[in-house]
Amino acid sequence: MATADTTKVVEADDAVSAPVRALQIGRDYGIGGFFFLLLLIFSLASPTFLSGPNLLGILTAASVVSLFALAEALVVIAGAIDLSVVPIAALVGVIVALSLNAGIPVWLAVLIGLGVGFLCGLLNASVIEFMNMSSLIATLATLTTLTGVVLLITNGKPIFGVTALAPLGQGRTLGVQNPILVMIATYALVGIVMSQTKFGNRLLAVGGNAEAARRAGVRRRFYVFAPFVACGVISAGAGIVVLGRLGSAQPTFANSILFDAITAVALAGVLLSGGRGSILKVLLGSLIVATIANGLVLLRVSSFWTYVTTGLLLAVAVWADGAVSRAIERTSLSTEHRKEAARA
Amino acid sequence: MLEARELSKSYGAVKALDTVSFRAVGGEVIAIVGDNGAGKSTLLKVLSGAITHDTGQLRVGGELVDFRSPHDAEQVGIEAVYQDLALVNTLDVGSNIFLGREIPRKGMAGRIGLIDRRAMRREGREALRDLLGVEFPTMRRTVEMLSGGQRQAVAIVRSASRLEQRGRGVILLDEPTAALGVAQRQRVGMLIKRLASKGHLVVIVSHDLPTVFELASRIFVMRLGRLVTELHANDSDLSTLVGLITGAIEPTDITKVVADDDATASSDINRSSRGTK
Ligand SMILES: Nc1ncnc2c1ncn2[C@@H]1O[C@H](COP(=O)(O)OP(=O)(O)OP(=O)(O)O)[C@@H](O)[C@H]1O
Ligand SMILES: [Mg+2]
Repeated sequence: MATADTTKVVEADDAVSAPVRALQIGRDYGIGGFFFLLLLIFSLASPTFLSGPNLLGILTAASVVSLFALAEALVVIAGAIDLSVVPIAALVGVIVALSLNAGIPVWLAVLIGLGVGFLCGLLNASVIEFMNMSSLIATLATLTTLTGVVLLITNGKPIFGVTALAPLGQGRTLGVQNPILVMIATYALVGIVMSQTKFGNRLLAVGGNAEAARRAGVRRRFYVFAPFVACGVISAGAGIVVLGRLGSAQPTFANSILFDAITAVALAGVLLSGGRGSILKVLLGSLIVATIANGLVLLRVSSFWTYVTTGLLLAVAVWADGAVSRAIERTSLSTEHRKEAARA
Repeated sequence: MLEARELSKSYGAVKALDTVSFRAVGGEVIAIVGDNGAGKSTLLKVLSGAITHDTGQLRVGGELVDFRSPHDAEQVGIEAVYQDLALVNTLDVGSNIFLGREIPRKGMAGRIGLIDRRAMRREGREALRDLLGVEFPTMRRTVEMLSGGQRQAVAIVRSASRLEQRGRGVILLDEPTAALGVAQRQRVGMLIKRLASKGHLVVIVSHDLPTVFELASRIFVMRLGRLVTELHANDSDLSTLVGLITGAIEPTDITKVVADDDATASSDINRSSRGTK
C-alpha cells in the first residue's frame, strides 16, 4: 500500500517534468546541433569547405587546440581553472628540443618532457592546496613565471633544427596526420577514464561538491592534485606535438591558444562551477573553434574577426549554459510546488 | 562500543560542543534532542569525522580514535546521514549511493579501475526499494533533479546499505525524516529498528519527539552545546522532555530519574551539568 503510493508520486513527477527533459536535451545535444549548423553554413558559403583536404586541415588545426582543451577540461571539471597550460607546453618544447640537440634519445626526451609537465601540474596544485590560493591566481602566477623562465632559457630566440620529432608532428599513418591520431588516442583514453573508472567518478564528485565527496569517504586531496597533474602532462604532450610539427621550439606561443581552449571547454558545457563534463563534447567544442577559424579564412574574412567571433562564442556559450541550467532549476522547482499544492 | 569523553568544539566564541560525554553500545537506538543550535549536528559531525573536535576523547570498541576525515570513521564502521544530506547534485543516483565504494567490473577490467555503472544503478534501485520502499523510475537522473524527500531517501540508503555490508557498526542520522512523507517515515522507523536488532548502534537526531520516544531507548538532551541530561524513554514522558529541551525544567529537578541510570554515563553528565552553575 505504502509502496504503491510512492510509486505514483514519483511517476507523476516524471510526467510533469517533460519541459525539464526538453531543456536537458537542449543542453545535452545543443552543441552537436550547433556544429552541424556550422558545417552547413560554411559548406553553403564556400564550395571548397567540404573537400577532403580542407576537412583534414581542420582536424590538424584542431589537434593541438583540442589537447589544450582536454587538459583544461579536466581542471574545470574539478571545479578549478588552469591558465598556465600554454607556457607549460612552451617550456616542455624548449626542454625537449635542448635534450634532443644534446643527443638524448627521442623516447627519453619525450619522457623528460612529460615529466616536466607532471612537475608543473604538481607545482600548481601544491600552491593551491598548501598556500590556500585560488586556482585563478596561482596559475596566473605560473603563467607569468614560466613565460619568463622560457624566455630566460632561450634568450627569447627559437631553437631550430629539431628534426627527430618530425615523424610525430608531420608524418602520416594510413593517410591520416599523426597529430590527429594523437588527439584521437588521448581523447579515447581520457574519455574512458572519466566515464568508466572509479577515478573519473570521484573526480566528477569532487568537482561537483568537494565536501560531499569527502564525507562519502573520498580522499579529497588526491583529486585536487590529479587534475592539475594530468593537465600538466597533456599540455606537455601538446608542446611535444607542436615541436614536432614546427621542427623548432618557440619560446612564446600565441595567447589565443588559451582562449580557444577555454572556449572549447565552455562550448562543451563543462560548467565553470565544476562537476559536469563530457569529454566527447570537449572534442566537439575544439572542432567548432577550429572550424570557425578555417571557415572564416575560406570566406576571406580578416583573421581579426576570428578573435571577435571566438570571443562572442565564449560569451554566448556560457550564457546559454547558465540560462538553460537556471530554466531547468526553475521548472523543476515549480513542478515541486505544484506537487506540494496537490498534496495539500 | 562508542564512548565520548568531554568532547568540546568551538567556533570562535560559540561553544558548539561543551564537554560532552556519553557511552553507547551496539544494538541500542539513542536519540539526541535539543533546540536549534544546541550542538546536535556538531556532535554527529565530530563522531563521523566530518569535523575534528578541539579537546576530549573518542573511543570506538574501546580503542582511542583520532578521526582526520570521514574516511577514517568509515574504516571503523561509522556511517552518517547529514542534515544537509551531502549528496553530489551533479552525479546520478547510482553514483551517489556508491560514491567512494564504486562496484568494480568483473575480472581484469575491475582490477584496472573500471566500474560497473549498470550494477551500481541496479543495486542502488534495489536498495532503495528494499530498505525504504521507494521506487525510482530512472537511476540515471542527477540528484539535482530529485525532490527533497527523494534526496533524503538516497542519503539514508547510501549509509544504511554501507552499514549492512559490515558485521557491526554505527549509523548517525541527522534529521533523517525531515523531508519524508508519512509512509517513508514509517519505513525509516522500521529500518532503524532492524539495524539495531542486527547489533548496530543507531544515533538519531530529531525534532520529532513522538518518534524519538517510539524508537530510542535513551534520549540525550542538549542545550547550548552541553549534554544536560539523559532520559530513559520508558520512564519519561513528552512534557518532561519538552521542558528539558526548552529549559523550563532543569535536569536537577529530575535527578531521581537519572540516578537509576548506568553509573558512569550519568555521573559524567551530572558533573558537567552542575559545572554550569
Ligand atoms: N561551521 C560553523 N561555523 C560557525 N558556527 C557554527 C558552524 N557550525 C555550527 N555552528 C554553530 O554551532 C552551534 C551548534 O550548531 P549545530 O548545527 O550543531 O546545531 P543543531 O543542534 O544541529 O541545530 P538544528 O536543530 O538547527 O540543526 C550553533 O550556534 C551554530 O551557529
Ligand atoms: Mg542540526
